[in-house]
Amino acid sequence: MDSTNGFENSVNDNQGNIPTPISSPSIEEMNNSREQTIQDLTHGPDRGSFRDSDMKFTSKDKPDARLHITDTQWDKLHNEMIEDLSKREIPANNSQTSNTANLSTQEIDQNHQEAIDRNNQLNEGFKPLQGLSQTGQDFFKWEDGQGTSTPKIASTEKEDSVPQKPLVDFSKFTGTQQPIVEDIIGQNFSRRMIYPFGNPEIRFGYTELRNAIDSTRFNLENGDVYIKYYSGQKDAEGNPISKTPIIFNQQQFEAIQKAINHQDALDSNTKANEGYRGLTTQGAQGLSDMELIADDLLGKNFKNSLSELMDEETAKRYIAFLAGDEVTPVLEPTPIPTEIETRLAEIDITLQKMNTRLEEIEENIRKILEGQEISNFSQEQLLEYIRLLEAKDSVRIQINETNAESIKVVVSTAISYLLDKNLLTVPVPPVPTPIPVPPVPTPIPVPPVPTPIPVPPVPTPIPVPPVPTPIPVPPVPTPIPVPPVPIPTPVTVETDRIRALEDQLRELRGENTPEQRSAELGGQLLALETQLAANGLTDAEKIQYFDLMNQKKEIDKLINQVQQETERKRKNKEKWVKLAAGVVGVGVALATPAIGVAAVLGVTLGGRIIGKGAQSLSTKLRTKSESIKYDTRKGKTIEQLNEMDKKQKRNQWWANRLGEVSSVLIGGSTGYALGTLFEGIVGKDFHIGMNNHSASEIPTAGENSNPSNPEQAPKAEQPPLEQPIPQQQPQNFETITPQSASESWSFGDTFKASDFGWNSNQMGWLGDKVYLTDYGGNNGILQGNFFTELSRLVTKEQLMGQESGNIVNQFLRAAYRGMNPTEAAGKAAELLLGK
Amino acid sequence: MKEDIIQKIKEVGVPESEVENFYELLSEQVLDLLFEDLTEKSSDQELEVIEARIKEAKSVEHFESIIKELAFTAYGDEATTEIMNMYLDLIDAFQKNVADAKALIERANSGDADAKALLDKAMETEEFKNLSSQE
Repeated sequence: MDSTNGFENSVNDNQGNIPTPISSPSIEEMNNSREQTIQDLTHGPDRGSFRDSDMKFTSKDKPDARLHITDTQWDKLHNEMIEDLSKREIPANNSQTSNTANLSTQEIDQNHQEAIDRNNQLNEGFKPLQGLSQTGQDFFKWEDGQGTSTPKIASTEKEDSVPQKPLVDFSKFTGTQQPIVEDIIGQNFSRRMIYPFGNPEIRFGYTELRNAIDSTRFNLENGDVYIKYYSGQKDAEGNPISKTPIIFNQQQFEAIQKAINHQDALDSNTKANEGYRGLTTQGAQGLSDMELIADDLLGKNFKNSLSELMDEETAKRYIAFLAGDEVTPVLEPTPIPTEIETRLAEIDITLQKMNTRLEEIEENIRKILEGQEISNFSQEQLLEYIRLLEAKDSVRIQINETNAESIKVVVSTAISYLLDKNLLTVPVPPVPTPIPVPPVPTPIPVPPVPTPIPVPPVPTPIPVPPVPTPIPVPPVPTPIPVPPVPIPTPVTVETDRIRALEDQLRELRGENTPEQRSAELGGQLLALETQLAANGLTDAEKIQYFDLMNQKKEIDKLINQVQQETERKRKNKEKWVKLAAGVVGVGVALATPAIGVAAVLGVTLGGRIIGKGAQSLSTKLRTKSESIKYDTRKGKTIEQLNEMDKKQKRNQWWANRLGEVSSVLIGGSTGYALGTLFEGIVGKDFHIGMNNHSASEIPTAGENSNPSNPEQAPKAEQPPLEQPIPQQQPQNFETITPQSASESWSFGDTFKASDFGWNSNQMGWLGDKVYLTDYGGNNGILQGNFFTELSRLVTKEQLMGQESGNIVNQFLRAAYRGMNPTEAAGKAAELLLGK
Repeated sequence: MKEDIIQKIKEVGVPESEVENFYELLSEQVLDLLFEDLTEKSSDQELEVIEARIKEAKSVEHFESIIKELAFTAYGDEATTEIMNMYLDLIDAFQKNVADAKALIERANSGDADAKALLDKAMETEEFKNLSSQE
């Protein structure tokens, strides 16, 4: 071991940092000198003496004993210290020293007393130290063969001469002079104590011990550990011992390491808990209460008073149970009758089959639910889903009933057994007191009392009170009502319970959510609507529809999914119903006018089918946007069905949106009669009965008086709005009277581009005037064909403005490049119509 | 055209005072049907354009011209026939509603329990309560 790394030469900053070794032979010498001085002070011929507070000589064992030294000794120590500090390059407080030197004895004593008072104040609350116990003494009995010998101070020993013998006998330190951890220099002082051996009297300064182990540890050959430890040990004279070489055996050293680790953990814990408040009084009380409650539950608090809580017998059994010595009565096994066994076996087989069926259904449900939400189900899927759910419910009900039967068989058997063994008494309900009947002079033969109904499982016959006689003229013998023996019938209750539990399970599994229930009801309603469109509904089915609708409404309210009907449609529906009800009332005996309304609502499912599916005449042309949901869905793939539903929803959404937008416009026009809206389309000369006319025979809007190539008119199938269409309206639109579709018009032989707001220069034309006949040459004929067709397809106002001119120009040039002029005009018209 | 439809409306028993109202009601329903059919044939982008055009219509006459275009877009050359047939279909539906309702009342009057139950059920509906409160 390198002596320069010895702890005694280190300066500990008391912050847990590793001491900085100071290597200097002179310091070593000085230490030795200092220790020699201490030795002299305590043991030398001019040693100090122990005095009490009155400066009388006293034993070092007395509580108030303190070491007293002479002025010579003090000066020597002082010089020693100054020299020591200068060697260590620590500036000495010379001023204080000089001041001290200049102080009078009285002032020195006063300062000293103040220091003692301050020290006492700091030590307030600390328990006075007691002498080492026997344990402590035994522990520190070093193997020197003497045990109580004067301690050998090994401070002067070199590291290379590690002592193999015990160095310190702690047993010498008793009473007030026992080892107090305290650095003799005062720089390595630590108040944190550790008690590695569980004995409060054997303690070490944590920092010092740790540093000693880190810096001076030496493992001896026999496994012991040698360290030099700056303890506050004092010798027999009470003089502090500076460095104390200590040898620990392996066991002791392990205990020390464990204690150090423990302290580390405590420090870490303290740091981690910084800022945290401790338990409040209420919290502590709460914990205490919990303990009491726990004790209560364990019966600890009622060991002798359980009978206050329960009857004595039960208390005894409970205590016995807590003690673990309760004896469970063993019932004799009873052979189960064969027929019961057979019945139970049959029930088991039935249950197995049902469970298999249930699993199949659940698998099918799982497949349907796989990868999609119920809200996205097609009608076909929804109906299938509902069917499976119903089948599942049905099977479950059967399972429950079978289970109930099984329970019934078992319970009946158990009851029979208990009755046989007289372990069960059947409560007999009180028999009503017979009404006293006054005696009748002439006795009438009393009809025989009917035999009591035998109750097989009841071993004790029910006592039937004597029948009071006589009952006046009982034409028919009235059997005395024997109350039925109340056999426990848990079956019904159990079944209900099972169902309730299954409902809960379904809810937990998300199988019975309001959304799913709403979807199920929606599916059923849709099925009824479909049936209504196809074959009509009976009154009962219509009632069912209303019931289902009400259920769905309630659920939808809960899940906030009520589909709000637009105010406009609701009002229209009401108008329809009221008008129809008024007509119904003609020629029919109505109790009240409300009956007429109810009747119309009844036949129209609350007005929900008004206007729907009414296509008896218009089915030829009209699309199936509304009736699509009544179309047959059989034979269609899931993808097709999904597509149908998606389309139907989308179409309905757009139709409503356009309807509302139009409604806003119409509603804002005072006095506007919507009925005139279609007059421009149908034409004033159109009459009912013309329906069978072919399309070409019916004059259409904008039809030219001399149509050419009518087959080239835009077909409905052609998407007219495929290209991006400018939405800006012609600026001068409002100044032009709209052309009626029935009013044909033509460009004539020539026209001016400027008449339509077109800038001929901008379009690259040769001039403003456009020729449409052979007067303009071949181009004139081409232009004639183009513009004649265009005038047939679009109205004049649709051509107004430069924007329209650009469209016209685009396709006119296409005609110049070789496109059929009629075809080019058609394409231009498509764009213009969609503009 | 209108006269013919009016005549037809009268034939189904609508009181004279309500004929014009009913014609207006039918026209609004025809317009709804037209929109439904239009949506079937148009893409979302096209419908957005149509919606914008209706919103930006400068006058009811402008709106009429737009609707006329839409009718021809939806039904092509047979728009006239189709619009007319829509009116007629709706009148037929109305007539059927009236006939069914009359039959229901007559059956209820003759003691048909189902008919009575259906009437009772209809009287429990929200629609009935709303209409009753308007009387």
